[in-house]
Amino acid sequence: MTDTFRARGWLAAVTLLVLGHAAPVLGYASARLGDAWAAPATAVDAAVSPVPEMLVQEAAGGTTLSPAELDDLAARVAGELRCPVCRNQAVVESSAQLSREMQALIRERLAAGDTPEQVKAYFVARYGEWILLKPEARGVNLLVYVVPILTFLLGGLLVWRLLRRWSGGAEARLASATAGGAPTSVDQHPAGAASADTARAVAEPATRLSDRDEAWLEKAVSER
Amino acid sequence: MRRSLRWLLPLAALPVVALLAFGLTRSTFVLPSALVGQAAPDFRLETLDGDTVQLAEHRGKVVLLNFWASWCIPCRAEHEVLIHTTRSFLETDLAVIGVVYQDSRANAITFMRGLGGDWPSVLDPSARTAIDFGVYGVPESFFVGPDGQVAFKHVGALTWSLVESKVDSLLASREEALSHRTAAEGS
Repeated sequence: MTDTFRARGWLAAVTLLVLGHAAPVLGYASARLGDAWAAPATAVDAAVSPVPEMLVQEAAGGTTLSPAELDDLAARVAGELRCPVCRNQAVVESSAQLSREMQALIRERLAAGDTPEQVKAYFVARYGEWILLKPEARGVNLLVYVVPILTFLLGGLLVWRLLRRWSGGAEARLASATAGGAPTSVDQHPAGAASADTARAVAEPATRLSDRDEAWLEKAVSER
Repeated sequence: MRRSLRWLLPLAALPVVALLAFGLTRSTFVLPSALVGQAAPDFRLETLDGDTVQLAEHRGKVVLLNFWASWCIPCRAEHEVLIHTTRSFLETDLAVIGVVYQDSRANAITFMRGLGGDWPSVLDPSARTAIDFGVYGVPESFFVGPDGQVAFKHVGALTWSLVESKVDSLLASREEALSHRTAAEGS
C-alpha cells in the first residue's frame, strides 16, 4: 500500500469517527433549533424549553396562577419527564393512561404550591433519574455532555494535523521538483546501491507528476 | 504517519466501542427502581370488598405488594404463584396485598372470583399509589421488609422460587431483629 493510499484510509477513518461523534451533537442541536422555529408554540414545544424561574417562584410563593398559566407550567414540567410506559416519549406527548394520570398529578402539585423542581424531584425519588428526559449535568452524567464535544475537537485536531502533513509533503515534492534534483530517497534506500534500480522503480511513481499537477507546477514556477 | 498516531485512533475508538458494547447489551426490560432501600410510600385504600387497608398497619410484617389488573395476561399467569404463596406462608408474618392498576372494580372482582385467592386487593383510583411506587406497568411486585422499607422490586410475573427466596430471607431477618431486640431488653 502506498503512503497516499494509507493516508487516505486514515483520513476516511478519522472523518467517520469525527462524524460519528458529531452526529448526536448535531442531531440534538438541530432538534433544539427545530423546536425554536416551530410556531405556534404548542404544549409539546414549550415543554422542551426550561421552566421560567419567575413563574416557579410565583407558584412556590403561593401566588395563584391562572388556569392557562398553570396548564402551561404543567405542560413544561411534563415535557421534561419521560413517559414510563412509552419509549423515549415525554409525558406531555403521551396518550398512555399512566402519563395522563401523571400530568394530572403534576398539575395538582403545582397548584398546591410545589415548584417544578419539587415536582420533578418527586418523580425522580420514585422512578430514578431515568424519568428525566434530560439528565442533570453533574457527576457521571457530565460524560454525556463532555465526551462528544471532546472527541469532536480531538478528531478535528487530528484531521487538521493530517491535512497539514499532506500539504507539507506536497510542498516538499514541489520544492524538490522545481530545484530539478532527483529524489534523494533512491540513493538512501535501505536496499543499497546493488538494488538501486529496483528502488528507483518503486520511488519513481511517487515523483512522477500527473498532467494536471504538471500544468499547475509550470504555472506556479512561472509566477515566481 | 507517526507510529504514535497509528495507535491513537484505535485507542480513541476503544471507549466508544466499550460504551456501545455496554449500552447495546443491556436489557431494556430491566427497569431501575429508586425505591429499593427506601421507605415504602404509605397508602390507605379501599379493598374490593369495601374494607380499608393501610400499609403502615402492617409494619413489623413482611409485605408482598402486587400491582395487577384483570386485563394483564402475565398477572393471570402469576396468580397461581400468589395463591401458593399465601398457602405456604399461612402461619407466618407475611401479608399479601394486591393493588388493582387501571382497572374497574367489577372486572377485578370477576378476576379474583374466577381464579381464587383470599388476600385483599385495593383499588387505586387515578393510579396515585402506582405512581407513588414508581410502577411502570403490571405485573410489578414490591417486597417490603418489617422495617417498612422496600427490600426488592420485581417486574413481570412472579415465580415461586423468587417469592420463596425473598420472603424466606425477609422473614429470617425479621426473626433475627426480634431476637436481637429480646436480648437487648433482657440485658
